[in-house]
Order: sequence, then C-alpha cells, then structure tokens
Amino acid sequence: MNDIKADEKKSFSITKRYLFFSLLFSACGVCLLLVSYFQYKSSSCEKMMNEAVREGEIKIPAAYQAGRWAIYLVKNANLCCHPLLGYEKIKSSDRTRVAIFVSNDYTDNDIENFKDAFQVPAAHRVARLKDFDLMNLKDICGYKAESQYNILMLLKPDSTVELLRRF
Amino acid sequence: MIKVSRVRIISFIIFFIICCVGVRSADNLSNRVPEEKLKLVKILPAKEEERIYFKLSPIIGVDGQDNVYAMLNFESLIFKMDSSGRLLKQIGQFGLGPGDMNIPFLMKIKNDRLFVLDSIGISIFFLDGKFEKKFRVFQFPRGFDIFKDMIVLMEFDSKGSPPFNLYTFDGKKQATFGSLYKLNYKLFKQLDKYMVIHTAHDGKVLCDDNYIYFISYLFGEVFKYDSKGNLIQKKKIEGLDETNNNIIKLNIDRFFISGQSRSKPNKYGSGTGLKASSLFGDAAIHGDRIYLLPASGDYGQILAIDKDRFAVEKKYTYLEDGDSEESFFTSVYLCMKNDSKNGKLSFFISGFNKDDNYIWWYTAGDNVR
Repeated sequence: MNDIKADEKKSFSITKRYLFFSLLFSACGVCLLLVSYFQYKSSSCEKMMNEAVREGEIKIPAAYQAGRWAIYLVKNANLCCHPLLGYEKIKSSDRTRVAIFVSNDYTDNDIENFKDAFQVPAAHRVARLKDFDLMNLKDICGYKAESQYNILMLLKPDSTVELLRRF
Repeated sequence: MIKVSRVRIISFIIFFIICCVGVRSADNLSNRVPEEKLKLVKILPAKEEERIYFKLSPIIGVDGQDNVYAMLNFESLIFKMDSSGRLLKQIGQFGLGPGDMNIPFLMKIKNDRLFVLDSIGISIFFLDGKFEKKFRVFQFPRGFDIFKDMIVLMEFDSKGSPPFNLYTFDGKKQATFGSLYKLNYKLFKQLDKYMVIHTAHDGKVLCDDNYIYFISYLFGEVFKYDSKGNLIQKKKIEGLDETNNNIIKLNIDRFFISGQSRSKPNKYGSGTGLKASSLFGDAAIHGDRIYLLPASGDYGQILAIDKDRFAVEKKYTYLEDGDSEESFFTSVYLCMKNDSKNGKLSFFISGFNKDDNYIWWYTAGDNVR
C-alpha cells in the first residue's frame, strides 16, 4: 500500500517537475526574445543612422568630426527622476566632447539653473534644440518634437554613430 | 507615644501626597490648551455643480474674494470655484507646454498670483487662470512659498547643498541658504540617497512678511530663518500629545540611530521601502500663528502654534457628530483665511469622508489676529 502511494507521489512529482522546467524554459525564451528584440531595435537605429551618414542622407557637420562627441537632446531632465544618462562618466572623460541641446522653451535662467544643477563644465556646450544641426536624425529614429524622451548620441571620430539611447 | 508619632508620620505622608497631586493637577489645569469646535459653513463643491468631481483629495487655496482653488494632481488641473462652490474656471491641463501642468503637487496663492509646483517646475498664473510664466526646476523639490517678491524653494541635490534657494519669479537664482538634517547614509542600506534625504525632510515651507519657516513633519521641529537666510530659531513644537511624541522618537530612531534597509514592497507592490510616519498632513501660516493639521495623535483637530515659542496655543476640532477618525483619510489639506464679510478665521480642509472627496469650510470665533 505504502509503495503504491510512494509511486503515485513520485509520478506526480515527475509531471510537476516537467511542467516546472518547461515553464522555466519558455519564460527564459520569452526573456531572450524580448532582449534581442530591443537590442535589434536600438542597434537598427544606430545602423540606419550610419547607413544614412554613409549614403549622404545625413551630413555630420565638420564641428562634430573632430574627436569623440556625446550629444544630448534634452526635453526634460532633473537630478532626481530624469538624470542625464551617463553624464558623470562622460564628464570625467577628457577625450569626449559634450554638446547638450535643451528644448526651445528653456529660458536663459532655466539654462543657467540647468548648468548649476548638473554642474556642467564651461567646456560643455549648452544650447537650445533649434541650434542643433543634426535635426534630421529625428526622422530616422522616431525622435518626435512632442515626445518627452531625452536622447544621448555618441559619435566616433570617424563620424559613425557609436550609441543612440533614449532616456 | 509611639502610636501618636506613627499617626503623625502617616498623616504627614498623606498630606504630602495630597499636596503633590494638587500641585500636579493645578499645573495640568494651567497647561490646558483651550479648545474650540469649528462651525461648518459649507461643503464644496456645490451639490448641483456637476462639472466638478474630486477623484482624490484636492490641494486647496483661497484668494481674497473667497474663491476656492482645488488642484487635482493626477489630472493636472485646477478648479476655481466661487464661495458657493460653483465652477468659475478650469485652469491648466496635462502637458509640457505653457500653461500646462505635469503632476502638480503644491499650490500657493499670493501677490494676486497662483503658483503651481509640478514635476517640471513652477508655473505662475493670474487669478483669472491666464498663464503668466514658468521656470524649470532641476533638483529634487520638497516645498515652496512666496517670500516678499521671491520664491523660496526647498530642493535637494545629492551633494548636500543648502536646501533653500531664492528665485525671482523669472527663475533667476538669487541666494542659497540653510542647513537641515545631517544624515549618515551608511545607515540606509540599498536605499536611494535622494529618497532618504527627501523623506527625512518631509514638511512644509511657510513664509510670512519677515521670516521663512520649515516645519518638519517627522521630527516635530520648526526652523526659522530671517530674510538673509540666517537660522534664528530651531525648536521642537511644545504641547504635542503622547502619540505624536512617540512618533517623533520612532522617526529619530529610523533616521539617526538604527537606520533602515530596503524592505519588501507592500501588498500592492509599491512603496519606497523607506519607513517614516508623518505627524502632520498639512500646515498653514496665518496672522501670528502656524496651523497644523495632525495626521495622527491629535487627529480631527487643528493645532494653532505661536510663531515665536512654537507652543500649541489652541486646538480647533472639526469632526462633526457621527464622524469618526476612520471616516477621514490622512490625505487632507489645510488652507486659512479671514472671512471677507465678518473677519472671522476660516479654515478650509479637503479630504475624503465616507463616500467622496470634499472641501469643508469651517469658521472659528476668533477675529483677525
């Protein structure tokens, strides 16, 4: 009697185990798919950017062709909830030049307060978005004027886009 | 002989005890804070006003013409009502443009202007709802008030810079001052530094014509600064009840002695993981007093404290017959003014009672002080 019960228990636990492992594997699979999808999406944007640069659709101005550049397009940033992505690290790198383009509705006082809050060094350029000379990238990567997202773009010295991230 | 002396000793002891009890009760009587039951004037919005609905307890303000402003932060709009609770105007909408609001969480009415602090910055409106200007805020704001022709904004960065910044209405920073609680961040494991500093400074910034006050909701203290930003007084509020004093002790332990580590999210899956109990839901300044709306302890009352001694001088009770403490949520807001008709002190309280969110307009017997 006890053996039968033990067998039942064993067979039940094996089924349960199969179910558990199959669920686990499918969850991992979904996660992997999602990760690869987002990676593809972000890299595809960078690829498309680079293709457009190569084909001459986007002309990187000469000012950005010397050295490595970090370009921020800022709609809404603050220290607590929307910090500038990777800015502390970029700030500490001597080789990376930085240009920050804020929304056109930033007043002069807003720009001063922004510089003060983020401790922007004098060498980093802060200007309004209307002065940004690479605006046609928005058509490629879905950066719309009405969106609330900020963008970080890293440009290599050879004028290729190394990274393009929304934050 | 021995018996006589025993009797004398016992009677002396009894006399001594009676004297002690007598002195104590006399002392209690002299320390007793006068209480007054507030008279309900009306409940807002008006019953027949169908255009106004408060999904949550609104943040409230009142202007000199008895118009009441109710701000709903998740809807990013303000209802301007007349004194009868009828809608006069709807101000603002969700967005990033001029005149838009983005989850506003504080509102002030001063200098014939309406000042709104949201997640982007401070917007200034005329009282007719017309947008005037806006400036952005880049640090972590805690509170603000209007001091003379300036905005005092309490905001934090991660470097522990002085928390008070004085801005012009155009957003030009004029001065920085103040130092509040010094926290040892090593006591807060896996907790965001901003969240710790922001929570530890839960409280309200209030200004009168000469001074800037910060009332700490966690530690029951008042900081008083002069117009040059010098700290001239820092004192614990006197006359709080035992429940409040126990909460203060608990908060001191949580933030300065034992610290805290990240706790599991609550059953709704949210929460900062930081534990803190607020003594007050809101505070307002009017005349010679600061008025505090307790969130625990003296619940259902408004405490009036003196602006120099910071001692409870008077208690106003506002719960109606049949209202229990449980019937009100703690998310209530307070606003004060003198009634334009009779000069009596008026209290506006917003909160949830039984079935919905309302604004209750009460009046006290006190005249203008």
